[in-house]
Amino acid sequence: MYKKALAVLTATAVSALVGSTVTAAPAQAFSDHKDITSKGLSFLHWPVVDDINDEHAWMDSGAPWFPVAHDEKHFDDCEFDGSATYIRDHYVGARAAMIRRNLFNVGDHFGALLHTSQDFYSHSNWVELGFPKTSDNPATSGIETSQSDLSDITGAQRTALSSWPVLQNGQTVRGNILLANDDWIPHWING
Amino acid sequence: MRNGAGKFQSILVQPNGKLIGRLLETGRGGSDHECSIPFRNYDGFTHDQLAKDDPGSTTESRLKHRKARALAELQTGYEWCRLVSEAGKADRDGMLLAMWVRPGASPHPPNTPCGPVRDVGVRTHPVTITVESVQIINDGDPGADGSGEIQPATALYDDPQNFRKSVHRQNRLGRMSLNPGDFVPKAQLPQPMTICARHNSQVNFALHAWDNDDHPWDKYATVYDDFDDDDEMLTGGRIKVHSEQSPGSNLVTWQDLRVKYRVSQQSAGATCN
Repeated sequence: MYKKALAVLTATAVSALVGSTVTAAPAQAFSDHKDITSKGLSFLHWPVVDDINDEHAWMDSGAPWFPVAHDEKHFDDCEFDGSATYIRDHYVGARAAMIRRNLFNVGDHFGALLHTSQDFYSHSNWVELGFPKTSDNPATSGIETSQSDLSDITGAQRTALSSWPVLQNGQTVRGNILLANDDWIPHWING
Repeated sequence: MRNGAGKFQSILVQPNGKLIGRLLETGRGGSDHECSIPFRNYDGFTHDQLAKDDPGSTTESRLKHRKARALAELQTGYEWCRLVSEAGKADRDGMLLAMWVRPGASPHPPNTPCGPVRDVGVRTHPVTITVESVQIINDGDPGADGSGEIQPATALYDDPQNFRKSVHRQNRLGRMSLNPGDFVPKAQLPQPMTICARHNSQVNFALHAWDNDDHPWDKYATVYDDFDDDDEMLTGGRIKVHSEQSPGSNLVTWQDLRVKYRVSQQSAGATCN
């Protein structure tokens, strides 16, 4: 029944995708994580920024005893809920380190969660979905952004600062954008 | 093949052609294959198709990379706001803001929940905190060569849950060789801090310090760091000051520091931004 109920269409590369084999994609990430972090946190002491930036290399290299990709660290493989949980867990770790008054450990946790949150914009199709929507200012060389351009999956569109939400499969992200979380079997295709 | 939504956007449609939605996806991972939707022969995109990790070689790829970078940088600022909020919930906002933020810098990224705002149509007035003395209780060098190499840092800010204004200072003239019981020399105390406080609100004053174990030729000789040799933090604390608190001096004793500070305000009717 589900086969007649729905169709998933891809605007481009669909014919290349159907029937393709799974290959081991490298755990790539922004080539300039450190630069993004340094600019985004330019108001912090430089050793703090360095401490935070140290995590980027660890996130990309992975653990030598477990050299497979960690999808949740990089928003790979539609691992939205896993990545959000990973970020939330590091906030828990950062908070615990604060209570212990271990600011260096706070930096470690913050660096890890920043890496994942930055990877969302590199590894997802959020840009292809039309973001940022903020009008470009031709007088500037940069890309204009505003808070409304940040993805709802980060919690950035909520009124108060809160934890990253863990959205579920098929949940509306914004407008007509739905979350295609990993291993999605829409329950309504069986109806 | 139907092109309903643009490049690298999958759309979910009913048999009658009605659009259900566009899909937010990421590229396929390395170890398994979880972007596919079973029974639809839908495999999702590859990592390389969506990745904007570097500028690539085309005009389109360069633009996508710039957009992703700009969003990632804004998200980084947003996460800073969230970290400050978390610090507030853990009662550690003062420690984070005094020890991490560079003196004179503005930790208020534009277009974020802790971005700068101007008070329009709201009564504000300047509140000034002056550190009058800092006495060392613990110098961070227990049983070592004696004196610690102390540097205090301060912050004055509004609310970690709505962090819009702050001032950050550090002691003047570098580190000081001090023992327990010693006072920071007057000439080396941090400069006074002034913030525009809303009427009938609270501001937060924080002071912490560290034992600077760095050699003068170290990469980070004058700041709190864990490069080569870990500096030790001396625990001060945070005080909430009511915006209409009566002017005067106050003494507070924290774990490692005893601090005397003066609260002062400009005359009633004074405004600031």
